[in-house]
Amino acid sequence: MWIYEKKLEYPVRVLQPDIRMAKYLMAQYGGPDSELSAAVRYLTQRYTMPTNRTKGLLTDIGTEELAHWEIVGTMIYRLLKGVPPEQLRGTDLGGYFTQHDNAVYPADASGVPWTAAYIQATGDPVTDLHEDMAAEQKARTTYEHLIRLTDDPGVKDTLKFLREREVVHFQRFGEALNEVQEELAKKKVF
Amino acid sequence: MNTRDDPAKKEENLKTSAYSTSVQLAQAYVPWQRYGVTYSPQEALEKGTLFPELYRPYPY
Amino acid sequence: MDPYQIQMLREIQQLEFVAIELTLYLDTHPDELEPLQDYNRTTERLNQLKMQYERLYGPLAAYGVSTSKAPWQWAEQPWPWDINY
Ligand SMILES: [Fe+2]
Repeated sequence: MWIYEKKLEYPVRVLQPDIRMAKYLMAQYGGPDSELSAAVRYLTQRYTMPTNRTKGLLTDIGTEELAHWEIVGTMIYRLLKGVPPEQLRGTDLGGYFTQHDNAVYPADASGVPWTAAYIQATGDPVTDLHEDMAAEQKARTTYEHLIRLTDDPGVKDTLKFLREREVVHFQRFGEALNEVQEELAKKKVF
Repeated sequence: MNTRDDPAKKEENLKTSAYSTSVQLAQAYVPWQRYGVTYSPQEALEKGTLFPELYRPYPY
Repeated sequence: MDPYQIQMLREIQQLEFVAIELTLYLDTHPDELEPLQDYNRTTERLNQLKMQYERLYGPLAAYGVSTSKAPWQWAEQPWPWDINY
């Protein structure tokens, strides 16, 4: 089970409402390489991992990704807070507002709703861990694009934290891959 | 303990890394991290990692 | 939210982040003693700090993790997305 802790993993500071940045950030909230995809991917794949260590790692990184999803959701919420509909007219978020008002709905930066088709669970631990490592790189790249799209020092700071987490997760998945491959090689010998 | 600047330790690191075990073609590996110096809690949260060797700042 | 509460929360975030990093490290290096000792030390400090915080500002977690004064305090303090850091 999970237990919710009433705090963010990393503080979110937002200078002022920014409709465009809120929309771009949706990429990491409900897009293909979003924190939501990451969490659901790892927490789904863990059942069929061959070693207890790998089950543990996927559980723990999956849980951290949920915390990142909350951070991104908080940034979007804060960037849209108090923005009246008149200001959304003719902006990129007019269509979004029509359907969701100021709610934080899991869609990507172009408004496409999140789908489980973004993730895979093949039951093959080597294949799944490769997907996870690729996912971490894709998320890192997306954060780099986002960092270049904002001048808000608070938003930049939080994005840099999230980007660095992807680097650390990549390393851990790589170590898990080493271990799983070694484990599978042992099984072939005996 | 900082082991990264010591050549003897560096050598040992390489020997015990994934590269010395059964390295096979068409298989991917990541070098094993070794526990060394860590950042203070404050610096770790600021940087997004506890480990200096994993810190990859983005210049923009 | 008063500045002292924000500061305490920040310290909790810092210690908990160290605990997260050490958890992930130990997941792939479970036989190493030094990071394990660091993990246990950090966890003890973190739990102390959380207890102090909760005594002053109310529970950080429900579901049987933290007790509550009357009336039920869980929803009283601002939710994480409403906090101005
Ligand atoms: Fe990640």
